[in-house]
Amino acid sequence: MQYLIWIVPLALLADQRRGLTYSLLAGLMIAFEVLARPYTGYVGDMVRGLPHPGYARAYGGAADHLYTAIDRLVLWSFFCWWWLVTLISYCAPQSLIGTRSSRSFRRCGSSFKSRRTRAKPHRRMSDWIEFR
Amino acid sequence: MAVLRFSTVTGVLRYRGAAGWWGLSSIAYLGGVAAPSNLLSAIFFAAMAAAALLLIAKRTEAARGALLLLLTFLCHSARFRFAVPHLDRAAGAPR
Repeated sequence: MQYLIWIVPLALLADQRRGLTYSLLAGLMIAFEVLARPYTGYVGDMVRGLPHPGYARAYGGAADHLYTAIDRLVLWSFFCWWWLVTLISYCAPQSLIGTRSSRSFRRCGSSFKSRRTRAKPHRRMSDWIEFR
Repeated sequence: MAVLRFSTVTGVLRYRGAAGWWGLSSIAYLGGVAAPSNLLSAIFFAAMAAAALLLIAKRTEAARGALLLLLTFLCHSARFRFAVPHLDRAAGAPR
């Protein structure tokens, strides 16, 4: 689970919109696994105090492996798409900056900057101190 | 004072999580194909190295660079630590 959490703060800093979409998707996946895993047919086995006897037999078994791999592939596919978009935005030459995907990425990527910073990018630290 | 056994240390160092539950290795599992562990490791390390070199070449800002590295890790990692206790114990992983 910690591998899924590491990316959240960085995503919120650098790519807020996709980070929020990711949080939603990952949250749905975790909720689904908590409720349904290991797919014994008894929803909520993982959260109740005394799981069904089939729980221990099914946990890590073939059906559990199959359904878990499928539901995690949904999240993995999102990661792959996100990675590709990010990579393209890095590798695209400056002449393609005006394309839709690049604009979208720049808009998301710069969302952590304040409006004042964007409006006056050449302000120096000494100016800021005098301003205060 | 707690006694740290050597096997505990080597267990932690060896442990990489269960293969077949995430990403490329899970696709191989679903396809019924036994993906060579060395091939998956090579893909992972090559992707991470390429991403690192790209970041060095482009001199990007820290947050975006770290995000790209993490995304590369999540896309190309073949083993991923999700709790599979009895499989972990069988593989000699720490509890």
